[in-house]
Amino acid sequence: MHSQIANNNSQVTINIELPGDLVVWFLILLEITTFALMFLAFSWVRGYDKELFLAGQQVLHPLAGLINTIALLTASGFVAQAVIDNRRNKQNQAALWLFAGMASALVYVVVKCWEYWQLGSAGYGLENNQFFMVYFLLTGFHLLHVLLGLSFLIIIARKLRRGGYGPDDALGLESGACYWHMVDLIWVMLFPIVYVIH
Amino acid sequence: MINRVPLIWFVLILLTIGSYTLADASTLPWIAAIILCLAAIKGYLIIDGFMELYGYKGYMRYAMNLYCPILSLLIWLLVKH
Repeated sequence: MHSQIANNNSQVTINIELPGDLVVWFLILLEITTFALMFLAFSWVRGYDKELFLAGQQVLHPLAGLINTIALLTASGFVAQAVIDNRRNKQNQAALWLFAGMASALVYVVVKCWEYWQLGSAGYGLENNQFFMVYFLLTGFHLLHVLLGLSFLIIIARKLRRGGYGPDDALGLESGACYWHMVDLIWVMLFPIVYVIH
Repeated sequence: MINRVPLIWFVLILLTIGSYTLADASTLPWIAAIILCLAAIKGYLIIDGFMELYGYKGYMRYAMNLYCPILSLLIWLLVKH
């Protein structure tokens, strides 16, 4: 449930109930905790062999990381807009925002696959050293979540186009959207650790 | 009703580009701290803005909002000490 609360001369939407299903929120907590442990493990292992990790980071493509971050943030923005438009009873427009979000997420998938292909062609793989093992596990696990999130978005968009959601019946849409934002949230923490901080 | 999504997206992109430009200087501990702070701010914007937890008073919002700052602090301690 949302309520509009007057604030000076403008109005802002204040959420007074948890958006989406509570079960999905517990799943989100579980997922982000798992990733947090992986990030801490990455940072801890890095402390033992900084030279190895620095050398590994030199091989990565920081620009690809930046493009992927922008693609995921844009996808998240489109998905958030879809939730708002559904609330405004504009289901077709909401579905279009979801499709735009999926297109943006596909940019991430393509760039990530290109990165893997580049690294694989140069002879880097899971068995090379600790850095690449952790890098491939961390980003690969995240890529799997992106693909799962994309599958949810496809299901939700199809249901939205069939009129399956409305302003008062958006539990599935909000749950899927929150899952998608979680995927984005994880990448926001992963990007500086893997690509930016040397 | 004010639609804050475009503004939040724009700030997120600015913060991303800002942290990216700091990459070359990130061997300095305080630069690494700034980069992780920017990541924590981005996390807050996603949680309160995109996930729409802004205004929600339950424990879930507090748990989610604590996630990025605590994780950023722990990562900084591990990376720089």
